[in-house]
Amino acid sequence: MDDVINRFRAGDEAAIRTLYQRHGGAVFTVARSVTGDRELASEVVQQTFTKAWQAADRFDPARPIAPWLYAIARRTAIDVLRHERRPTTGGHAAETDPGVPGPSFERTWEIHEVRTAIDGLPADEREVVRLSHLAGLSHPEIAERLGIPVGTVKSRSSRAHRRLAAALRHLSTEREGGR
Amino acid sequence: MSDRFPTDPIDDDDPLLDPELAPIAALLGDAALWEEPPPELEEAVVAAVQQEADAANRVIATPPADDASLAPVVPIDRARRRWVAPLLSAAAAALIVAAGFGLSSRLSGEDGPVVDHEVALAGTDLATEASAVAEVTATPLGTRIILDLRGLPPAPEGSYYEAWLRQSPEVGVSAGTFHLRGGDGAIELWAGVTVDDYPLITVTLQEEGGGAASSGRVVLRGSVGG
Repeated sequence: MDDVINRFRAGDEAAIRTLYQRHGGAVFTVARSVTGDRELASEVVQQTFTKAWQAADRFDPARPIAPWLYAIARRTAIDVLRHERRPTTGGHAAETDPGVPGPSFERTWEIHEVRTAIDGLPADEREVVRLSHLAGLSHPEIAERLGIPVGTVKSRSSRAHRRLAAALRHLSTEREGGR
Repeated sequence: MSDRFPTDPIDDDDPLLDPELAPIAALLGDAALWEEPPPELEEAVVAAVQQEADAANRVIATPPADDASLAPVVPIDRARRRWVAPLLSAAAAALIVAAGFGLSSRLSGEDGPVVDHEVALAGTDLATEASAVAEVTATPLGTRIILDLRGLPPAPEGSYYEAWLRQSPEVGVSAGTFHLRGGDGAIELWAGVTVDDYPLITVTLQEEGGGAASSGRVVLRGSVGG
C-alpha cells in the first residue's frame, strides 16, 4: 500500500486507478448516502480523490487509507450538499445555517464499511448476497436465476456471510462502545 | 430498505444471524449500498488527479522569473467543478502566476506543509498601517489559517480582533479571535467552512459583550483569488 500511496502522490495513473478501484465504490456509496443524488455523488467522488492527492503529502502511509478517504468523502459530500442548498437570493445568516445534513457520521461509516466488505467478496458470492438481500430472492430462486444448483447457492451464501461477519464484526464492537 | 433478514438462512450458525450484527446486516437490503458509480467516473477521477499533479510539476519546474527564491507556485483552481465538465486545461492552469494581491495558489515549501492559498490582506481606513498574509490550508479537520500580521496595533482593553471567512458582507463564519497585546506576529486560526465557499477574509475589531455578530469595523480584508 505504501508504494501505491507514493505513486499516487506522484500522479501515477496506475496508482490512481488502483486506489479508485479499491475505494471508489465505498466513497461513492458514502457520497450517495449524504447527497441522495447520483450526479452529486459522482462529483463528490472526483473531488474526494483530488483532495486526497492535494493532502497526500501529509498522509502517514502507515495508517489505513480507507478511513482517511472516508473522512474526506463525507466532508466533501456535506460541502457539496450545502452548496446545492444555498439560497440564491436573500442569503442566510451563518448562525442559522442548518446542522450537518444527511445521515450521522456513525451511520455513513457503517455504510462505508459494509460497502467495502461486499466489494471485498468474490464476484460469485457477492451476486448471491445481492440477489438474496437486495432482490429478496430465496435460494431456489437464486439458483434458477443463475442456473446453478441450490446447494451451490447455499454454500456461496454461507461463505459470503462468514466473510461479511468477519469483516464487519468491529462495527458491532464500535456500536457497543458508543453506547 | 428491507427489514427482511436473511431471506433464506442456511443454518442456525449463520454469523449474520448474530443479533449484534443484525442492524449492520440489515444494510445489505439498502439499494443505495449496491449502486455502482457511473463507469466513466474512473476516467474523470484519473484525469482530475493527473491534472493537479501535472500542474504542480509544470510550475515547480519553472520558478518565477522575478524572484527565484520564492516558493514554487502550483496553480490550482479549487473552485467547485462539475465532474462532467471539462477539467482545468493545462494552458489555463499555467496562466496563474505568483504575482499580485490576493494570490490564490498552492505553495509547496520544502520545509513546511502544503499551503493551498496565500492571501494578502490590506489595512482599511481603520488600520492604514496594517497588513497581513494568510496561508490557507484545507485539512481533514477544517480550514487552517496562519495569519501573519504586521502593523496592526494591540486591541484596546475591552475589545478584541476577530477573523472571518465570508461569502459576502452579510454572510460569514468566524475563524477565531485574538488581541495582539503581546505584539504582532503569526496566529493560527481555524474555520469550519472552506474558502471555496467563503473566499473573503476579514478581520474586525469587536467589543467584549457586544454579541457574536460582526461589529462591521473591518481593519483588514482580502480575498482568495484577489
